[in-house]
Amino acid sequence: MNRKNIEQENERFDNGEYAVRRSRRANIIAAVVCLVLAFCVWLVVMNTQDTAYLPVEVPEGGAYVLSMTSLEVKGTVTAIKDADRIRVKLPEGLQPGDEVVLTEQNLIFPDGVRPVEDVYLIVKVVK
Amino acid sequence: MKQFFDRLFFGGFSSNFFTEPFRSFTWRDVLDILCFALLFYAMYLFIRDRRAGKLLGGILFVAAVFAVSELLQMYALRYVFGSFFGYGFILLAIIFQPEVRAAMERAGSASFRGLKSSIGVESRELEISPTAVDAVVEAVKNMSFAKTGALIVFERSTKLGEYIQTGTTINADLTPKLLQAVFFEKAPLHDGAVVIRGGRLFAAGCYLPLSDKPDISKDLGTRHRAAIGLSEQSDAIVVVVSEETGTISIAYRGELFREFTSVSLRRKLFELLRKEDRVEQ
Repeated sequence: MNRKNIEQENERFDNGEYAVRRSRRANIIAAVVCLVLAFCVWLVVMNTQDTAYLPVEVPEGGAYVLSMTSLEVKGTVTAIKDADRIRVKLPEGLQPGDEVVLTEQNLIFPDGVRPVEDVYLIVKVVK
Repeated sequence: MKQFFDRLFFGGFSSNFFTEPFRSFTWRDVLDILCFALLFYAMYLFIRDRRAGKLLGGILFVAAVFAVSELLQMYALRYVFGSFFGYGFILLAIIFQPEVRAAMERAGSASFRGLKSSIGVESRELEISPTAVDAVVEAVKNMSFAKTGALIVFERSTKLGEYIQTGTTINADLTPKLLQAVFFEKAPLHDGAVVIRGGRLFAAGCYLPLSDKPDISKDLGTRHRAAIGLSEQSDAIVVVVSEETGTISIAYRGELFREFTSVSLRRKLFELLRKEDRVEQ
């Protein structure tokens, strides 16, 4: 390749300098491809399974003591991202001093989120 | 096909794959995607002009074979290519160690520059004294006229100790005559690069890494290839004088700027050697 070809292929500036550069169009295409790729990766990541610890919330929290304040849950990244807490559905007729064991049926999990292990939560009524 | 995607996404390919993530789509997700896109674009720029470009084809081939082996349930093939993905990142880090290091150094220096300029400490001062730049310009002008080949490196934030070790330490005041004497064709140190550190002629006869860029013109010799090679791996500014034509060029950030006169060379060096200069990508 002679210099004449270099001048034709590369960018020439007013002051006589040359640079080996790709065209702007190629860079724009690459940027768009990167954006599409990033979207695809985001989509895949959002659909992958993940685990997290969510706080367990009891209505009238001051009246009860829980054996665990948070539970490990699993679900898609999207579901876990949206989940904020696990609500407890207490059995009726509890008296102060009572102690009950709660299972998965007594808990209300956010959409798309399930416990990682079997739930065994002890609630003690203090007031 | 569903089974294929189930295996590929490990946790299972749900029917609301495309709708579920948009259930609570916020500006944070937009930012997340844009950051990813920027990262991919930076990777694209990084591999575009390096050996990685060719290797990327190989990696895509391996990924394609892995996907086909999953689809057709070819267990032996899947096991072998699956193992590659398991250790592939470590392997790639070893293969591209110099490139990764250079990229990290660049990212680090660029972010510090950005931080400094954002808090208003950007400087217009030169990294080395104007006298040193003028000495180089004067010597280059004379060597260009005499068609004496020269390779002059301005060391900046990336330290070039490993290349300096290949040459001879001089650590002398920079003068046009000293530079011309080093590159005089019968001088023992003429066949190598001169490294300028802190405005002083620090070392001569240094060997530089050659660029692997496939699109470098065939009429550019080893000297130009070495200049581009060092500028790819560091933030150094490399001035080259062609032995055949006397053409003056500058290699900077992996690009070669050619056909300088002494006036335009001086202007370009002053521009590039300004402290906290912009990253020209």
